[in-house]
Amino acid sequence: MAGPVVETINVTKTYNHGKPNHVTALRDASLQIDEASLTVLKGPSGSGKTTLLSLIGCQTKPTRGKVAIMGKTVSKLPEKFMNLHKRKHIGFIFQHFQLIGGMSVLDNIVLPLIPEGISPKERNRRADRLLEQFDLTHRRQFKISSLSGGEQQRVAIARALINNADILLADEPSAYLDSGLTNDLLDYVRQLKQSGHTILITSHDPAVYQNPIVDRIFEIKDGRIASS
Amino acid sequence: MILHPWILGLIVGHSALLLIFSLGVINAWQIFRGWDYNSSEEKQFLLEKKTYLISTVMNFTLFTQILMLFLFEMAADELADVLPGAMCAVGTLSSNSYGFPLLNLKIISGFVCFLWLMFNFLDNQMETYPLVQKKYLVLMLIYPLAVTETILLFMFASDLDPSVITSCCGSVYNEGTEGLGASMAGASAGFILPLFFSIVTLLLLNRFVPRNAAMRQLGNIFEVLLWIAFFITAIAVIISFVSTYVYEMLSHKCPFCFMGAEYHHYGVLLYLFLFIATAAGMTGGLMGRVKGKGLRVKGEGEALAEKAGLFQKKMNAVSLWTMLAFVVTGFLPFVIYYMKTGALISHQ
Repeated sequence: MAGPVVETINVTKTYNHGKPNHVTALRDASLQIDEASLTVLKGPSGSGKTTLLSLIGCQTKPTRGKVAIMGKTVSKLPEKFMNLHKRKHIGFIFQHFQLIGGMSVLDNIVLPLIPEGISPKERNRRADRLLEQFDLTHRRQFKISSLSGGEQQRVAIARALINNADILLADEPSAYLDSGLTNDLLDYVRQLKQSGHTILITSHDPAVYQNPIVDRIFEIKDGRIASS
Repeated sequence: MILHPWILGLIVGHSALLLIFSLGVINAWQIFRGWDYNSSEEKQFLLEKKTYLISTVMNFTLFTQILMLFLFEMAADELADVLPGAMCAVGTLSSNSYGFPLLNLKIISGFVCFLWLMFNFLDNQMETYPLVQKKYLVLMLIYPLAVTETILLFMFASDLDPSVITSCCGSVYNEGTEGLGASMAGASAGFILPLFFSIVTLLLLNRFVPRNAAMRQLGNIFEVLLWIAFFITAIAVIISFVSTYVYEMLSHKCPFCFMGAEYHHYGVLLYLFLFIATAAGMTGGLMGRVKGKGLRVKGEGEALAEKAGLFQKKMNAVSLWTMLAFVVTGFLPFVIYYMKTGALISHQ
C-alpha cells in the first residue's frame, strides 16, 4: 500500500484517566512504519513499549492522538469495528505466548478464525499449511502442555498468522527464550519479512535489536520516543 | 390513591426509568454540545466512550418504555377488579380524566421510542457515528414525553378512587353515547372498511410503484403519514368491525376485553402486529429519508445511505408481513363467523 502501514501521531495514553492514581504510560508518540519492514521498539521495562504496541494492536484506545493502521484511523473507530480491523490485519505474539495448554496445537492455531465464521474445513486447510511451514505437522493433535518451548513459540507464530495478518506484533518474544530459540525466532521473522509482512517487535534484548534484519529502531524512555 | 401492587409497580418502574432517562439526557446534552468527530483530543475520546455507554443504556430504557405500554394495559385490566362498575381496562382508564390521555401518550411515546431505537441501531452500524448528534437531539426532544407520561401516571394513580362508580366498556364504546370511543364504535363498516383498505392499497402503491429520486423522497414522508393513518383507521376497524365478530354481539365493541384470557389473548396478538407493522413502516419511510440525504454526501454519506437502504428494505419487509398478519388475524373472526352461520352481523 502507498504510505506507511502503521502511523501514530502525538499519541498519549493515560491509565486510570481522571483518577488520583492515573499513570501516563506514553506521551506524544509519533512514528511511521513502512510495509514489509521489521521495526523494534526498544527500551527498559515500564518505558511504554507495550502500551504503544497495544495501541497499534488495537487492544486499547489512546487518551489523545491518532493511530492509523493500513490507512484507517483505528483510534476513532467504535470498539466493534476496531476489533474487526484487528482481526483482519493484525497478528499478535505475546510474551508468554498465551496458548491454551489443555487444547491441541490445531485448536490453538485455528482459534482466531472462529469468530470470523470460517468453515471448519477452511480453518483446517489454513492451519495445515502453517503447520507444515513451521514444521509442526507431526504435533497437530498434541496438547500444548506437552510441547517444548521452541514448539510453543512456533505455534504462537502460526496462530498469529492464521488470519493472513499483514502486520505482526510481538511483545518481548525472546524474553523467555535461550539464545538458540531466539535465533530460530529471528529466522522465522526474517522469512515473514521476506514474504511481505510488516513486523513490529518490542524488546530490550540486544540479540534482537542489534540483528542486521532490523530496519528501524525506536527507543522509548519514560513514555516518550527518545530516538529513532 | 389505591395502593395496589400494579400501581406501585408502575410508579416505581416509571420513576426508575425517568431517573435513568434524565441521566441519559444530561450526558446526551454533553455529547451533542461537545461532539467533534475529527478531533483526536482527549475530550472527544471521552465523548466517544460516553456515547457507547449512553446508547446502550438508552436502548434498555426506551425498550422498557415500550414494554410499559403493554404493562399499563395489563395493570388497567387488573385494577378493574377494585373499581366499582369497571369490567375491563376501559373502566379503569375512564375512572378519571387522566386514564385515556395517558394511554394515548404512551402509544405515541411507544412509536417514538421505537423509531429512536432503530436510528440508534443504524448509527451503531456505522464506523464514524454519523447520526450521533441527531439521535441525541431527538432523545432530548423525547424526554418531555417521558416526563409528561410519568406526571400523568402519578395524577392518574392518585386520582383513582374505589368509592366512585366508573363506566364499563359497554357504555364507553356505545354508539349511543358521546366521545371518541363511541364515535369509532358507531362508525359504519361500509365507511371504515373501504377507508382502511384504501390506505392499505396506497401503502402498497407507494412502495411498489417506481419513481424518480425526488418523488421517492416525497414518497418516504407520505409513507410515514400513511402509516399513521393506517394505525388510526385500524383502531377504528377493530372497534367498529372486528370486535363485533370476536364477541359475536352487535352491542359489545370493547377493544380491550379480547386481550384477556377469556379470548385467548387474541387482542394482544392483534395489537402486537398492528404496533410492529406501524412502527416498522414508519421506520422504513424515515430510513428512506436518511438514505436520500446520505446519497448527497460523498464518502461516509454514501456508506450511511447504503446501510440505511438495507435497513429500509428489512423494515419494509417486516411492516408488510406484519400488516398482512394484522389483516388476517383481524378478519379471521369475521371469516369464521360467516363460515359457521353463513350470515353477517348487521351493521348500519
